[in-house]
Amino acid sequence: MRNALKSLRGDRGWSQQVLADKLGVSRQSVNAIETGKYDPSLPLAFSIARLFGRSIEEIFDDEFGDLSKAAK
Amino acid sequence: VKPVTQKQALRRYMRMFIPAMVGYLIGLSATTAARIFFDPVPLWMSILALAVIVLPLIGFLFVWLRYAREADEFQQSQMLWGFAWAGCITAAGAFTVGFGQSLGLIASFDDYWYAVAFIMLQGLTVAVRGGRCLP
Repeated sequence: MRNALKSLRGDRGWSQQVLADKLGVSRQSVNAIETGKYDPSLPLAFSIARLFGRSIEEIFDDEFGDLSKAAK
Repeated sequence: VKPVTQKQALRRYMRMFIPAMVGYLIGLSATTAARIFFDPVPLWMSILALAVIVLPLIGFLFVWLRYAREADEFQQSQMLWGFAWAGCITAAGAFTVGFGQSLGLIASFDDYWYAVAFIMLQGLTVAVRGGRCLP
């Protein structure tokens, strides 16, 4: 699954560790999600969406979706 | 289960892990020393030595289990793969060694090496997989 987590994090100037602390997960978890090695559970996806003030669909999408609107 | 952050889970794990390992090393050293000074070792001392060595290890296994429950979902998935690989390899090794011993091909050795192999293989699997969580 693709996601816009890295660009959203970058927009706020947060490091992976800062984002991990805000989500209560490890830095490795954030890295794995950003690089597409791990797809988060629905509760964690909701936490991420809530943190960035976006909907889940704006941050996470499958290969057929369009994530470009998340960067706007 | 009260949800805890990954940092809290790791802190709770290390708070128990380090004393358990220190206790284990002290117990092991004391037992080794006792075997040098007492020959033969009295029964009560053997029982005490067994308890002193094994109790910290049981404590470690308990906190390992607790960490597996409290860690974040990515770490849990990593641990699951570690347990799966370590369990399968250890089981395969146990079968091979067991039948090898029955057939007189492999010499007898202490059974605790299976536990050592399992724990080391679990960590090795997590390290080698390097964050790959997809099958």
